[in-house]
Amino acid sequence: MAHSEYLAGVLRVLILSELSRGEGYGYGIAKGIARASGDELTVRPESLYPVLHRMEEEGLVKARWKTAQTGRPRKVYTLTPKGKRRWDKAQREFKALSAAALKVIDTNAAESAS
Amino acid sequence: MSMWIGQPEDWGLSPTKLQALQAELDDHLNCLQTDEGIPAADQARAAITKPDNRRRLAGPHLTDQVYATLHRLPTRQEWRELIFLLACFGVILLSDWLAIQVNRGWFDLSMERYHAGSQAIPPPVSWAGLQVAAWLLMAVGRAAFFAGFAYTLWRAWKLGWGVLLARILQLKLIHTVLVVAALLCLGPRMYNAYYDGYGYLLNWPQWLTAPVLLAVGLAAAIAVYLASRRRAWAWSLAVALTAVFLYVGGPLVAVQMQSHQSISYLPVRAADGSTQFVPNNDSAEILERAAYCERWLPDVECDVANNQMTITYHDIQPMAGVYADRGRLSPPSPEDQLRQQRKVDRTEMATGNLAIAGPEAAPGGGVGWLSLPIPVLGLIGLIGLVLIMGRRGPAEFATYSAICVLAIIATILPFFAGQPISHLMELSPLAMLHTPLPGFETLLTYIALDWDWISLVGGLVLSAGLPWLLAAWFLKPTQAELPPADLDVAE
Repeated sequence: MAHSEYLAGVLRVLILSELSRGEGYGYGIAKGIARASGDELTVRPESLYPVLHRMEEEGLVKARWKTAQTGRPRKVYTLTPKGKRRWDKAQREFKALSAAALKVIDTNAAESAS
Repeated sequence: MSMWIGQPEDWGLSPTKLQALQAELDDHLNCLQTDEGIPAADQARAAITKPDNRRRLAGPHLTDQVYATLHRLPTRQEWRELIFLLACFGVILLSDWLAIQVNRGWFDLSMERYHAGSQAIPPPVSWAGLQVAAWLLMAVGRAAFFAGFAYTLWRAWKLGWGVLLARILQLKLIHTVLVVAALLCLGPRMYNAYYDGYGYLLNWPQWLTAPVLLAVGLAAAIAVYLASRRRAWAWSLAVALTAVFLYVGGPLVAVQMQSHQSISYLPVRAADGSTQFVPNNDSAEILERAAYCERWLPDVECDVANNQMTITYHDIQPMAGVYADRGRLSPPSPEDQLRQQRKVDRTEMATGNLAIAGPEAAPGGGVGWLSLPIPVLGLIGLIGLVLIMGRRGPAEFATYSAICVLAIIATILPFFAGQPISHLMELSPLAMLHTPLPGFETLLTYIALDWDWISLVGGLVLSAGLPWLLAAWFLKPTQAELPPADLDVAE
């Protein structure tokens, strides 16, 4: 449950990451995030879809309807050129930010232990 | 349309948008059920329909919420809220009408006394009862209206920012039409409706004064708030506002005074250089001055034989902050009168019994307060509309900004026209009694006298209708959301 606090900020980056592999749909994106994180990250529908729909509104992703193998309609998303550019930028920035944050945490943990 | 997700009104969305959202969520839950079983899917379904999550899911569809809310019929709950607000509006108008009747009654009586040359003509009805009724109704009506208004907007906000913005635009239009209607009804009656005399309530319990009412009201509001665990906040807000509105015009303990003085007197220069007044025993002069005093002063008794008269002050102002602020409208306070009288004619003053000064309801104070939401809602609604429409591109942003700036000017102009810059907002206790927007009071008082005011009011109504036209013409949702019949197969 503690994940949800940190996940809110990075969900957009994780969705960009999932869609950078190709088109995806809501449940598939959530499942992909869970699988890639070793089931550490769980994305609930009420968190996923608002972010996904905002990204659609901003033109980062585009959506179209298809029929799933179950016969149900399925809304699938793909990255737009704008979304791809955002993903290129976001992954660089996020990696640098994560590394810096980890460095701070590790340094402080080491100092408090010594 | 039967959907587990609820009705479009529950989400503030259009039916098309909600059907699309449900189709997407159905697919999600179906996959979840296949992977993790029915209980997991049911749990997720229950979570989705919780009000907070509903609000989050509908949040990105701001434009659709504004359009859908403006273009659907009100729900039962919304009808109830509207009827409640209209009922409060009616109560406020009634209180204004009563206040006008009372004040004009006093004015007419004073004119009648003037023309008859006698202060002994009694009022034809008991003004005190009407004054108390106007004061009570004005406080309750204003408080209930603003609490109901806040509750309506809070409920809209719970559904989403788009619903709130649409409700602001709707309420602003309804509110403007009603206030303008009240303005046209009451305005012609407002002329000569400000009379500064207020009577005593001789039979009123002396402990039941404005501070007591305020304390009891605020305590009750806090008790309701805590006992209901914050759920009845609108009721406690209504009680607290009622207490505050009752307080500002409420009955207060005042001193009823009698002045005993010589009917005729002469100034005499004392040895120390000061001027003193001594009785003048010229009987012709006493008779002439006694006739003058009996004609012009209320409640005066003249003892011509002893050159003495007694004036009882029944219509003096009570001694409280809010009344003291009425300096520009009212005569001096009793203390000032006392001081002046002593200085001028060496009058012997006697302090009589304590009395309760009657409560006050300012004519036009009810509709004056009702006018307050118009510029506030106008600014919020129009700026919000520009921000939503402007998201479509720079050209749209510039166009809507220009139109909305004109609408904002037309909205606020009637409240500020003809007012000095320093007097655009009234921030003293007078604002509570009358209105925080003195410009509206000017409009109310003079609308019947000058056609220029009518054109300002016309602009006000047009500016309230403009956002509706803009939204109806240009704010249609851009994305058709429903899955088409002939679909490709997803992998």
